[in-house]
Amino acid sequence: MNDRKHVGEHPLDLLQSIGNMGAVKATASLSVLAGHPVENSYAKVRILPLEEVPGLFGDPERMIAAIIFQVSGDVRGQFIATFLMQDALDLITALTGAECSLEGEFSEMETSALAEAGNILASSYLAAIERTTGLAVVPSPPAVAVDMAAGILTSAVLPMHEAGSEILLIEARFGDRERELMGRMILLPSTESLPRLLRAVGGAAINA
Amino acid sequence: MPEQVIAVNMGQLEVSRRGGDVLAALGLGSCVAVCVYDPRVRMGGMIHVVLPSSAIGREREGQAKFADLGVPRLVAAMVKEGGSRQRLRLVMAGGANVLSSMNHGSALDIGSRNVAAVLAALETEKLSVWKSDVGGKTSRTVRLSVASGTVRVKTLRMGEKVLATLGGGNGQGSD
Repeated sequence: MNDRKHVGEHPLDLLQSIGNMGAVKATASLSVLAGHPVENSYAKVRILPLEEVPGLFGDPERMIAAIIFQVSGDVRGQFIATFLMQDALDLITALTGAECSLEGEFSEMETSALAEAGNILASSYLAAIERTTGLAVVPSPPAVAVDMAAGILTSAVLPMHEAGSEILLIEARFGDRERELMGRMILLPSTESLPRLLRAVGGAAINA
Repeated sequence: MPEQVIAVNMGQLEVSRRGGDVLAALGLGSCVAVCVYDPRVRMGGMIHVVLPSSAIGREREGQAKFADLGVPRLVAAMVKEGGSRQRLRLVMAGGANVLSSMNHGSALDIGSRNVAAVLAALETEKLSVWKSDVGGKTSRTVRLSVASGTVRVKTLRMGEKVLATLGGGNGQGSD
């Protein structure tokens, strides 16, 4: 690939750098929201076989809270923010000022608090990509789900898979001083968006 | 007999006559588990359907990945292993719209398309569903016990419940 020669970097490394950049901005915003420092501990890009999606977070039945956005504009795909349950509850408490438990369904206020946290992560992350690449990257309104990890992840990924897209995962994990892993942010660009994204990131790397 | 859980992962088909086996599809979102049982020979089968149609030109991917191919293959596998088509009892569960606020009424609601495609494929096979637990917004785990033909469905909110006992007299409920 010509891009590689010019930039001297593998395309996956370029995508990783873009994921990192987005995640750093997103966790900075999350720190403000949570009231204490939150940092990225991990960023990785990989192409995942569909069969591995249900077990991506370990136990397929594990309960997680997820906020999911469709991404449109120059880059199409999905943006997913997930929290382990305890961290989702802590975050809701920090946002609403009310204790939140796992008993029963989340109230409307609790759900919108989660949606708001997701909104802040997604908009910071995607705005960072927009600024660096000059591409338009627009998130849809969020869908919030608190459910088994496998059900959420496969439901998010399957429409892209059905459309023939590879499952290319740009994943960042974040945590704080107490817990290394509070949640994850995942960008899933559609296969058709990749050349555009790579060109733009490559250009940004040259100009940097 | 010690219980052994056989995971039926995305796109897989399993048939068993071993009394200790429990066929299990974990954390189904839009996917659908179709369970089939022959009470005479105590044989159970399950497919984990991922997408409705192989018409998008990917019929080689996973033998039960697509509802239109998976259902007839499940029936054929049961018959091949000694089951009788006339005795087969079927239930299905799954097909939720977990991201309903985003997908409501759109083609992205793969769950309801999967359910419709399973029903259409069963109609082609001239088979009907005894009982189903489909749709909604919640992920499910589905287990079929080969010894009894009992189908259990678990959700995080409601816990595990018996959907049907296919080995019993009328196959309905847990009587």
